[in-house]
Amino acid sequence: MEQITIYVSEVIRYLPQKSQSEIKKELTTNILDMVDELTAGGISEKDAVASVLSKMGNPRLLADQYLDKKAYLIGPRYYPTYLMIAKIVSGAVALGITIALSVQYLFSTDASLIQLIIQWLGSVFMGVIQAIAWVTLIFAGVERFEEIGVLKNVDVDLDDWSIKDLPKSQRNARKSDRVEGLIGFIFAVILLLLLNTNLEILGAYMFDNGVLREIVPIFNIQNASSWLPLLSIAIALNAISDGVAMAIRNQTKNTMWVRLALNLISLILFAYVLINGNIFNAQLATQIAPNSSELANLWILVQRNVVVIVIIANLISMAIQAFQIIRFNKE
Amino acid sequence: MAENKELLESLILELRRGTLILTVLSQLYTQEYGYSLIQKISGKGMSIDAGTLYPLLRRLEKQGLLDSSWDIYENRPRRYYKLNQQGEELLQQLTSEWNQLNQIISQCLIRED
Repeated sequence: MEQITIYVSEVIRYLPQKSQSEIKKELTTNILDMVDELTAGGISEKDAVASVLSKMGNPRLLADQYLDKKAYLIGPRYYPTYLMIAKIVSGAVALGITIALSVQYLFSTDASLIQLIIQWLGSVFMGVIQAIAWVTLIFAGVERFEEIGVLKNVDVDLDDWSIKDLPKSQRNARKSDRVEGLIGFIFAVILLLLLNTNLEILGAYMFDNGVLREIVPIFNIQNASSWLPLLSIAIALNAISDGVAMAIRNQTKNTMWVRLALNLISLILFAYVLINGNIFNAQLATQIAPNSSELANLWILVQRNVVVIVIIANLISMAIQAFQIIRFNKE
Repeated sequence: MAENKELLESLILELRRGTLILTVLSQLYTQEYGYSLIQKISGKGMSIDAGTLYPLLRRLEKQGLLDSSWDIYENRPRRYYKLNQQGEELLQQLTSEWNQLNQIISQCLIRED
């Protein structure tokens, strides 16, 4: 008898509070009925309880049946994409860490190779685990959001498909889009990684007789906390847009709009950070060559023009996307 | 051979799973509680797991096909389920669907070579 009580409480602990007492009563009665049937046939109560409960199976699974909810993190619909993105992100993270550590090793005087390898293994391991965790979290979110209908229209119209959605002519899988997306995505991940973990290695390497004297940082490291988060978000949005291009074989109007919107937000953030963020090391020129006014002028010119170049490059890529949407509408 | 048997069993299970709701609904013109329904169904030669049936009953009630009520006057309080109007209508539609399907499958299963 006690076993039945324990079994039922094991089932209902996974269920919402409001249905617990009802299910407890109902399930207990049903189990007792089944036990009665067996004992009436001459089986001892202990054996009967054991037999019935093992037939009912794992309480956790029974609870799942009552819950009638998704008992998985990422469903079959998104799983292949999830797997692909997880692999690419892991690869990019590993590559980024390898680059960062190689640079560190090349220019450090006291690091031993064994130390480096151990550090590399540890960093890659932790980095890849984090990367996979984030990708998983995002995809699990997509799966749940879809359940409540938020993402219905963003997805590739799997449910609401009609013959009108069929392209007028056979579409050549725009392979170049996917490859571009892949390259952009990997680049963005590596950039994010370097900016957020090894900001100081992005700089001008100053040598004295072949020995590294110092790395003069390109970026304004002291002030990083004020501009790095926004810049990271801008890069991440860009990466997501590239990720969409890479992951979805057949772009639809919706996915194109999503990419355009992501790029627009990203561009606004980029422009804001680059114009107001004070992200560059203003002293770079004087730190490299204290007496060169030409270098100082050049550096000012570069800082100013980076903003323009980034904005123009983004606008061009957005214009191409807009053109693709128009062409897609005509098809 | 053992593999084949396992595969056959899993396919049979899948085949039966699709017919569960029809089976359960068809036995609820009169009110039944969980265990009495299992007996009734297995008495007709169909087997159903208790762990599948009890949650299914609640789900069908939530979907508006069954009504339920507690009988607290027996020695154990029991929850009885019965088809309501909507459930009966749906069962009739499902039944005619099943009959059609049966005919079609029978046709398909005739070897023509």
